[in-house]
Amino acid sequence: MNMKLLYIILTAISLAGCATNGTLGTITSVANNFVVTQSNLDSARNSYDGTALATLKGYSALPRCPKSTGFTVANPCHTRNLLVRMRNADNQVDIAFNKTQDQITSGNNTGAVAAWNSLQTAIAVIKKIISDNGIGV
Amino acid sequence: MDIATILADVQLAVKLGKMAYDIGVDSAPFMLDAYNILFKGKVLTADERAAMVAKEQSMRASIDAQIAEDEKTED
Repeated sequence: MNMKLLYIILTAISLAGCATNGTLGTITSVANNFVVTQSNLDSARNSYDGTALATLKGYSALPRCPKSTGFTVANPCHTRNLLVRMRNADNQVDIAFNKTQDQITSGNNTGAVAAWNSLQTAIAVIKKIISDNGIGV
Repeated sequence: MDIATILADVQLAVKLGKMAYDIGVDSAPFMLDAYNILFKGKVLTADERAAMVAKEQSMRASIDAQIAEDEKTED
């Protein structure tokens, strides 16, 4: 019950996982054919931003939980620990997106594929943080 | 169920609705672009891509500001 609010807030992250997974799946398929296009990256990035990042921002905007308390439906709040962990994971996703962009811009498709694999790993990390906190992804 | 409980539930529903709305406002432009790229063949211009990155930076700055504020006290 205490995690109910967190579940509500981060359901969109669950959806983000699905949406991003779908996009990742698409791009992975493309990568297997040794091509990662700018549109592939743009759609993946917008999907991630519109789901995971937007929800993370919404979560951060909740009031701070009082000491030694967590989420309740009656008291929507965020904890510093979880916010920091999710933001750190998000930062790795951001770096991976930028590296992939750099490789595409420079026309290095092999590098883009490698960067894309790193991006998949980074997204898996943030998904694990979410699932470790009792939120289905 | 007494009036106070009903009012508290309504207040909570409004609060949750506001949260959902705020997330939606941030989310919608990105999701619309993602949809248009994936299903309508839209190609982002350099300006649109720069705007996307700028919006990302703005959102992350907001999150980082909250984290900095949180650093002042323990959970």
